[in-house]
Amino acid sequence: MYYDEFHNHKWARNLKYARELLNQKRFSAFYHGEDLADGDVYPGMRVMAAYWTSVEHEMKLRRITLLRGAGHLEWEQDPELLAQVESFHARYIDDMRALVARDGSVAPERIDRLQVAGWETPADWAEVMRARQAASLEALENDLLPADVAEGWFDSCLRSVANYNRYLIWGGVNAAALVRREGPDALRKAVDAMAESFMWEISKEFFATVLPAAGFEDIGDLMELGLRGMYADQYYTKGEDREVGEKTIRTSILKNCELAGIYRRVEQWTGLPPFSLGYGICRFDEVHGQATMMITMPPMVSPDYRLLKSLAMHPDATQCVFELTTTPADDMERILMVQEKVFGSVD
Amino acid sequence: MARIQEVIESLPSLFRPEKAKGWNRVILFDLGGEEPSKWTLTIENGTAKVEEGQTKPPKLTILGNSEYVVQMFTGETPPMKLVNAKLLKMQGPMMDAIAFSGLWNIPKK
Repeated sequence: MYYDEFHNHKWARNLKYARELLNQKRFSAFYHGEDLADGDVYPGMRVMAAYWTSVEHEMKLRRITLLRGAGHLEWEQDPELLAQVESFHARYIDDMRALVARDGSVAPERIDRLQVAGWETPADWAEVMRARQAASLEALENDLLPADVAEGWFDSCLRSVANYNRYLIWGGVNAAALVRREGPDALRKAVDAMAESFMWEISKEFFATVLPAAGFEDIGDLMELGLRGMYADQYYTKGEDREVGEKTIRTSILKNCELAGIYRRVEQWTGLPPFSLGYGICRFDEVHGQATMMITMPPMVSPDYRLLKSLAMHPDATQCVFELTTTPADDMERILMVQEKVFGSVD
Repeated sequence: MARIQEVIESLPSLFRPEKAKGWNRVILFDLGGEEPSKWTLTIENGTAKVEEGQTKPPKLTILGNSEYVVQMFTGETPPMKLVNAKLLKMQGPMMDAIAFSGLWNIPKK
């Protein structure tokens, strides 16, 4: 295995479980997901497919945002970097082949067929996804799921996982080039220059564009995606809640990190010291989380969101820890500001 | 259990205008279940007014069974729990759905 299975291949565990559900003819759980006995969650094909498609879009945006911040859009065509991306991504695909073969989730030749068809997000992905959702719901009314629909979900998930990791690897390769060619400060400056704009761009991409196109428009759907989607890739656990005066503090613990796992390998394979690329992940993670809290927290509280500990940045970290602090407030101003920035004017 | 009319007509007294600064919206309750009915709620300049039926084009529509709306405003079930369980749907701008949940002085049970 080229990449760390715990950090980078939780998808394989989910698709293995999906195949088991399909073999047991537990079609509703296959599609809608279910909680697992060990505290983990199988999110279901509907949520996983939408989640991974949204992450594909996120990784594309992260990659181009860093190049803009660095002032090196020309690196998109840099032969040295493109060769590294191709090589490192081929290793990820090799891992995928090995894992589906080991787990029996699909035949490894399926990976080859998907590769021939191309990893890039298809122009008609949203129409295909919504049609597959409709076909699934219609069949589930009779507790059935046609094989072509079920296998279509596997293909959708596998292609998205492969493609989002391609863009994640590409972002890592660009970050490594920045550190190698211009020094560690150049990475920090590029990220800091773009963090604020990324915060709103990624929110628009998720909440105003990709998720509605994927059929997640209603607030209930978005809450479901928010609560269950992360389990597609992550081992998540809720930390202890505490009250400090009028503030409520909640911690979220992520035991693995797809991004840290990929960047760790890019550091190794490009000859950089460990943790030298972490800021390129974590600052963008933090602002993405801040924006999400500003969007989803009701106006009776004011949210503050911070990354306290990071697998990508801190050598002593055994997990990523995020902290959400909510303070009672009349924060309708925030709601109106977010509405304008992310969704545009309603009136 | 309270009836839907009683609950909907109590909304102006549950409304917290200080939470709705700058937020003027028309909201439609389009309800099925035990008491199928439609109600138009208008929030404008810090006041809330309800009318039976659909009297204006809404920006936000709340869909579901009347008994869940009763549960929401009598404090029996938190609004987001009903939404998460897909017992109530909020159709319209996402931020309006988020804002709506914070506008009410709902009794705690």
